[in-house]
This record gives sequence, structure tokens and C-alpha cells, in this order.
Amino acid sequence: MEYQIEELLPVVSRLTDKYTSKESTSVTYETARVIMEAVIYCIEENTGGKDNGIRTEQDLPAAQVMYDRGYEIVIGKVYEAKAIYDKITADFEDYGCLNYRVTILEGMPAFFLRYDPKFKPQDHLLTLDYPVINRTPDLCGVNLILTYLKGIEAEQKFLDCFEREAVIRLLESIVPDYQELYLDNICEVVLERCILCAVAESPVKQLELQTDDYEIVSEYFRDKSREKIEVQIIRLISMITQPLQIDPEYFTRAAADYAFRIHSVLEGQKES
Amino acid sequence: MEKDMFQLLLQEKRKNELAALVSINGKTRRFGLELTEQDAKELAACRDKSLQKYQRVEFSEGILERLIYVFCDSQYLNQSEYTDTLVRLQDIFYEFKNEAQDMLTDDELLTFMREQFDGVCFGDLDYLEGTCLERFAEAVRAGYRGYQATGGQSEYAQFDDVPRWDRNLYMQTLKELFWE
Repeated sequence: MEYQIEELLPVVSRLTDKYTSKESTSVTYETARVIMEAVIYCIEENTGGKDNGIRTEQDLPAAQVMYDRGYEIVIGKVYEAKAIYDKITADFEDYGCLNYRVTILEGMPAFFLRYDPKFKPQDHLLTLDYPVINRTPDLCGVNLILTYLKGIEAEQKFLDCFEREAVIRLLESIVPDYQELYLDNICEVVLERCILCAVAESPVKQLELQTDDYEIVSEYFRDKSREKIEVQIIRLISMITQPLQIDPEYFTRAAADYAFRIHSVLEGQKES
Repeated sequence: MEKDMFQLLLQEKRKNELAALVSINGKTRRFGLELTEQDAKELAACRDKSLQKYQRVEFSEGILERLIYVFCDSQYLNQSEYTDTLVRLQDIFYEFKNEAQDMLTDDELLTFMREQFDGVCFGDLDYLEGTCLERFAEAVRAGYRGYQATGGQSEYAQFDDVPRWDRNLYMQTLKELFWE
């Protein structure tokens, strides 16, 4: 959905008046740019940022109407994100991981306190140091936070299927001082271990592999292309998550990374 | 898009403002001050340059009309320097909106400028810009917010470190010079 700059200027002008409370007739270039971005962000909320090409120029509502609607959508998303956050934190398990705990329990409340949906909806304020499986670098503002929290919620639901001690043992095997040093996603390594356990026909819930199991896994994926490995991993993720009544779609996004790692290891073994 | 936006804003403003500026003469004529159409064009062009220099943008009506209303009854404004003074005041205004980091409203800054222009500056724009406003803006940047209660009035005395004439001392000195 494209509006000409002449159509956006009156909307930006009205918003700038609100920003200055009509107490200033001029603003800096930087302020004007930020307010223009705020207007565009809200207008794009009406189509999810994509031009679906359905409307003709004659059908296009006034930019102000689209901005107002988009602003209401942004507000709705903030409430939605807060509801998800409250659900996550009601029974939050951080497995002793400092980065995870600080990002969710200490960092995230700052978003709800300081987010400015009117003048800076595009600014999500947080660095989100704990990564989720579904990384979305193209998103910003409340869209990024909402997607992030939905990811955390899905990952928590998956991790809750395992014994706390099993997850901690796995993390300790990767980094002995994982509490302070582990900065990656916990669910990714748990899911990866699940996949390998499934292939080796080892109890998935234990998250443990014996030395022989690695040989079985190598044999399973040997001589297969990366794309083939990825297809197999997607099938395995579905097999693992469906009995837990978890939607596999979120977790299959990790399949490409797993396939790359497994393929690289096997190629490395071949060469040596 | 950013550059287009600022250019478009300047074009939009030019359309109606020349007539508006000249129409202000109705209010300022009684103080002996009038703008010709040429003067108005020069003011508008200098305004555009100042805005670009200080990287600021005006979306709707600008500050020029308000600036003229605030200063038109100053004893230090005369017809021969009217346009040049307005150009300079306008430039100083935008400069110190930036220097005060947009902490001052238009009214607070204009009130302070007018009061000092007529007061300690005696119409000297260099003193207004280089001393009074510099000190005031520095205080605002350092966290001073007293002007919010006063609206910019009677603010300078606390930042003024120039020893000035005490009235009694002044009268005594006059007496000594001319009567004794």
C-alpha cells in the first residue's frame, strides 16, 4: 500500500502537533524522521507490511484513516503481547540460565513500561539478548516483541515436556558453567538432542546419547544431501512434537540449521 | 524520501505566507514598522536557509508571524533595520531551540529573548545571542527547569554574572558628576 509523501505530510503534521503539544512550531529533522516512521509503521499495520494489490488508487482510504486504524492495531498487539507475557511468567522456568532469566524477567517489563505506540511504535527498545528459534530481523516495534513472546511461549511449552534435571544435564554437558556462560537458545539444543535420540531409538525424554548412538545417527544421515537431511529432520520434528500436542511448524524452522550442522560434521568426518 | 519531505514542506509554506506576512503590517504600522513584498520574500528565503542550517522543519504555520508580534513594540526596532533584525532574530530563535535541545517551548524562548533584548542587551543582538541565550541554554541543558513556572520571564538575573549599576549608586554618581 503506497501513499505519496504529499498524502502522508498532513498525518505527520497532526502527529507532530500532538508530539509538541502545539507548543513548538518546528522540530528537528531527526524528530520529523522518527514521526514519519511512526506514521508509516501504523499505516503498514493495515496490510501486515505487504501490498496485497487488491485496492486501486480510487479505493485507497485516506492516509489519516489508515493511520488511525493502524494505531488501534498496534495498541491491540501491545495488549496481546502483555497477555502472552503474563502467561509465560506465571510459571517461568529458566533452568538456571542467567541470560534467559534476565531477558525475560528483567528486560521485558521495560518494554511494557516504556514502549511508545503513538510517537515511536517502531522502536522495540530491547536488545532481546536471549535468542529464539524463529529469528525475525526484519521486524521491529511491537511486531518483533509479539513474535518473540509467541516464540518463547511455544518453546516453554516444549521444554515443559522434559524433566528439569534432564535439560540442566544437557546444558552442563555443552558448557559446564552454563548458568552464566550459555547465551544460545535452550530449546534448540534440547530439540536437536531429541532428534538424535529419536534416530538412535534412545528414550527421547532422557535427552541422553551413548557413544554407540552417535554411530547410529551418523549411519542414518550418511551420504545424504543437506536438503534430504533437512526433509528428514522436519519429519522427525513432527513425530516428536505431535504426541505432545505441540504445533510442529514453529520448530521446523530450526531444521535448516540442524541439517547444515549435521551435514558439515559428516563431510568433515569423510575428509578425515 | 526524507529530502523530498523537507523540500515539499518548504514549497507548501511559500505558497500562502507572503500574503500573510504583508498582512501583519496592519498590526505593526502603528509602531512605524512595515514589510514590503520584497522584504517578506527575503524573510521567507532567510527562514528557509535558517531551517536548513539548523536542520529543523516547520510543518504548519511557522514562527515568523509570532516573532514579529512579540518584538514589534520594542523600542530597539526601527524601520531602517526592521528586516535585518527580524532575519537575525529568526536565526537566533532556531539556533537556540536546538541549543536548548527542544526543552523550551516557542513562547518560553520568545519571552526570554524579548525581555533580554529590551533589558540587559539594549537591542544588541550579538549580546543576546552570545551571552544571554548561551548562558540560559547551558543552564537548560544542565537540567534547569525553573522557566517552566515563569514562562521564560525574569530568568536571566540568576545566570548574569556581570556587575551592573545599583540604582542608588547610579544616582549618587550622577549627582557627583553634574552637581558637585
